[in-house]
Amino acid sequence: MARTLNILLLLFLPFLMLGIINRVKALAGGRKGFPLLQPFFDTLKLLRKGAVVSTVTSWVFAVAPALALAATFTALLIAPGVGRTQVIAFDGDIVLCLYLLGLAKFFQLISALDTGSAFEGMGASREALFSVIVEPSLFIFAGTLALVSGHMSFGELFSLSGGSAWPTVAASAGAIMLFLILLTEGCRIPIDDPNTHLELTMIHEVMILDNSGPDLAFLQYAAALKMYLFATLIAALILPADIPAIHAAFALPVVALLCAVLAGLVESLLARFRISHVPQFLFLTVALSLITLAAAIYFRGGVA
Amino acid sequence: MSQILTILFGVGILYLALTSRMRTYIQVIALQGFILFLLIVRDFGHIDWFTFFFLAFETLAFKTIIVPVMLWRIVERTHVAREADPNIPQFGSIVIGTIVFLSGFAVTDWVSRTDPSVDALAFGIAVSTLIIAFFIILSRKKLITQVMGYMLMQNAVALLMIAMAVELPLLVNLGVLLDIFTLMFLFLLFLGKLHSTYEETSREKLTSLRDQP
Repeated sequence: MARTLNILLLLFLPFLMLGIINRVKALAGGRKGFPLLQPFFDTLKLLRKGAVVSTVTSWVFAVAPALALAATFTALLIAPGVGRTQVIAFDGDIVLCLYLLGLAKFFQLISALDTGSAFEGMGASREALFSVIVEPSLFIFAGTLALVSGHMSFGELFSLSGGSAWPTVAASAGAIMLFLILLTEGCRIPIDDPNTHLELTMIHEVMILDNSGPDLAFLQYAAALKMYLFATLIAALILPADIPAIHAAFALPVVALLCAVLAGLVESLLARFRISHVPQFLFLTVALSLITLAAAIYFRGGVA
Repeated sequence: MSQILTILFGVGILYLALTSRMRTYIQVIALQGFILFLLIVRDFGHIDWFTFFFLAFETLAFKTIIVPVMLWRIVERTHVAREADPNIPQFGSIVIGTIVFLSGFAVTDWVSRTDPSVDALAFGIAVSTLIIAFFIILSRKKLITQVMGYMLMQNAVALLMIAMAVELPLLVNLGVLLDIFTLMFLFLLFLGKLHSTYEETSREKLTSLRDQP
């Protein structure tokens, strides 16, 4: 039941998160905003359209959107969902999950380079730089949780216990870190601006300028899924493990939607950072993961 | 709850190490003041009501409202709202801030072994904040940042007090309060005068000051 619910949530909640972010921004700006499920309808509309493909591109450009979506979707099947249940679970699944995200990113980057556009190359370069900074923090954090819990599976990784301050430090620092990664990977302000129309200031959007129709729909859905993935990780971190199944079914969507509200507030209150300042900001995620590791060592008397 | 607040306090100072906006500095100082107020309300209910009321009022009114407002007035008067102008690259600041934090936990480990009654998390974050505040004073060129560094140190001392579960005597608190107030007023006058004379409030410009011939 929980697994079916996990898959159902994957189909709607990512779009709803985007809708809520836009609604919060609209309300903060004194506007009414478009319907909450507009991103879902936009994606459906794109799926019905045809794709225009540049003649200079190769097979990489053709397969990248579908591959990025498939990899991200599979990663979400591994990630802990309702009540920390996973659709696919095995020992070491966390490594596969993170590498699937890496694979999706890799194909998006080479697809952007494949178009031969200088602007898309610039966007790919920036996106790669930000991923290079963010990924170590994810691996350090996941590694710390794996060493502390003694498990290598996503479902059991988040059983924070032992040591006076360790569970609070891990949950708080981890949730802040994951939220920053959610903003980065979701291409949101203050790292990126999904609404910008100036190629020079784009990051993720400039990479997908040449995509249209179903390809664009796949990439937009993949980006929304990635945001949802980090929201599920935040939920797994902060929600208690022993809540009843019926509560867990509501708790995950509530946490995901709260993350969307928070992201909308951040977008409304903060200006986008200068590109040169973004790596410094992202280093904060590495710092937080290192602090979690240090907390594991000092508050638990070791990581094993 | 107090652990989450303490961690937020620590993340605030870590964020300061990488930001360069004066407005953010002031916001973090105010946020830390409010966190201290919540911690005092939560942890010091057992002391006599007058001291408790004074501590809570002083933290809320002084650290959360008055000082940030005064700092904002200085920033507006001297037009230094944009950059903190660090001596070393911003990236270096966040790396040093992280190392200080990790060392802070090591100190915490040592202290909690010798005195188990100390709140290890709050102690570690207070020590780290103290050192990072000192680092901010040393590494930023703008004079206003020095005052902010002092305020951060003051916040760190207050957190240290909470970590060790001791309330400072009322007289000491009043003395510290007076000191900080005097410092703020002097800096307001000093920076205002410096700005009107030299149109610059960078620490580096002080080296070229001369007596009138």
